Amino acid sequence: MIRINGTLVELTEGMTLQTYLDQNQYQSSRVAVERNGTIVPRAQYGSIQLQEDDELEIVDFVGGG
Amino acid sequence: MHLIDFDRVDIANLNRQQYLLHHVGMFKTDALKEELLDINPYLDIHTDCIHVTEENLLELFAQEDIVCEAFDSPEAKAMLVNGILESFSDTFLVAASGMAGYGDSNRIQTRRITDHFYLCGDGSAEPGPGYGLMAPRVILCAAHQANLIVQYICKAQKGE
Repeated sequence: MIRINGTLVELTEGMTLQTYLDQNQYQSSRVAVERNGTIVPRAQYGSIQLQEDDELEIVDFVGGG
Repeated sequence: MHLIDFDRVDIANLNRQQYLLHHVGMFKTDALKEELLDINPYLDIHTDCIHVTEENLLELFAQEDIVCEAFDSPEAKAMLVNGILESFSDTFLVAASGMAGYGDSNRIQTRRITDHFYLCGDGSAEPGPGYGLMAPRVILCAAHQANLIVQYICKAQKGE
């Protein structure tokens, strides 16, 4: 299990962060992701593999300011 | 204080942004600097009338301890937040997302992401037909951001 924005989620073995974002309708150009308290550089979304007990904060920006 | 914005004041901004009719056409950085100096002439303000990009972000923000994001585009918000968090881990960053329309005021919140990154807004309300950006909720969100920054500064001064 991993925790995403405070909610426990079943983890698929070996899933990359990019795959998780794609499957959950996030647009990579509109998000910032913290993994275990550290920002994940965008260049690493496709290579970072989510691990058991990971804690992710996914900030999904909407327009307006 | 470092004001960064590429844009000019437009008449469509007047419903919610801190500009007056005679500012329309001026660069936003110039207009806001003028207003702030009218409030406190001793403020130290420098301005950059420039589009923030991944290429100039490092140079623009290198000297800043606190960054308050107030962009319009979600891609620009994400670009700035990622850039600041990747390159300046000690910078206190307050961003905003979700403040359109006239929905429940109590949904505008401050969310702690990390010790140095907070997000204000309701997280979802983006402008659309019949549901634009309107002063009350935008100002609520801006007040959340401003109050958080004041808290941060005051706690730092007390050594907390």
